[in-house]
Amino acid sequence: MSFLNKLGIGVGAGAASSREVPRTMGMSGRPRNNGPSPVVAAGATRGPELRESNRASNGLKEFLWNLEGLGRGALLDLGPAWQTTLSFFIERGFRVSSEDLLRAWKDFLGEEEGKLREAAGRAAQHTLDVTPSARAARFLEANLQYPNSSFDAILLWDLLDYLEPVVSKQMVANLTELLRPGGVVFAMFHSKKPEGFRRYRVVDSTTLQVISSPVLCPAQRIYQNREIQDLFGRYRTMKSFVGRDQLRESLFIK
Amino acid sequence: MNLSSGSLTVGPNGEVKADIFAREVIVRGRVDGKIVGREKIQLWSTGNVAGDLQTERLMIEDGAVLRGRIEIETGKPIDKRDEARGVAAGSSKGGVTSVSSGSAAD
Repeated sequence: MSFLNKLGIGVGAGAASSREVPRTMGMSGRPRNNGPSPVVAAGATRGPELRESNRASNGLKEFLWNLEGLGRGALLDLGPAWQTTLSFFIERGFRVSSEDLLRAWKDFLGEEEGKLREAAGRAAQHTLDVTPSARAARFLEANLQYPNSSFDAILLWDLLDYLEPVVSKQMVANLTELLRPGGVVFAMFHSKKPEGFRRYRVVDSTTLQVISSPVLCPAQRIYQNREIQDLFGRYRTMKSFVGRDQLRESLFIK
Repeated sequence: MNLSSGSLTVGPNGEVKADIFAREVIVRGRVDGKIVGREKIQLWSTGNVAGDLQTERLMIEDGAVLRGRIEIETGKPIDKRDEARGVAAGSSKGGVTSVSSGSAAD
């Protein structure tokens, strides 16, 4: 059992639970169901197997409504760099920054494990502070480094469910600083522990594509409504939409 | 790394620690630095970029990792077409440089 698993934050492969037919995505996000693609013939590595389904998103609709008339706004997308999502916002005039924070968290944990092994072979004075708060500080020192008030909108997705609570709390505080007054955060929370690991991308202004993916990090915490309100206590408005799929979409306006 | 009229391909085992300026840049490995691909930037599924992207057309394959800001220079949308032919055409215009393994740094 690895160090990360002992901490309850192990990283492993998870089985996708969707009933959708898996398909491999091509260079531009188009499905490649049958036959060899010319891109593959040219030596491309095929993308990962993905299972997808669509869900209506009132949260996204409301998020976009809040950003209407912004002109060239600045958006921070903390999910994977999906072509469809980036394209959607760039075509609407946004300047987009992308940072897959959950992948960064996974990489960070791997590095931490390596450092711990290294520290174990050294003298006691070189040991690493492994308290959650120290780990959170180290992670956030290396990520989300933008000037204050850089963004009009942040796509947080369901990240907070997968990060250690101490990291989530500090990260929300940091994001609040990055957001301009009146800026909007779009976040999602699971109402119960998710069975599989999913990521999301924008299909159109009212639809999200749910993509079952290999597990990057296991869920750490299921937030209750009051806890969510506490996390985003510095925001003036909070609005939530609860779906039948146990997913709560929330908007927070600074 | 300045290849103003050329193409640069960073192979799946390639690692570049430098800013890249080229007509077209294909990333299948790791780039730590800003990429300016005047006409096009392609991030393939194994691509991993920590740096800003500046281009006219951007293609991102599922699985690619990007940490940085995206600037689309001429307001052209991100290309949604299958870029199979684009990859081939990219090799025929201007010089082509490949970084398929090892690493490069400035």
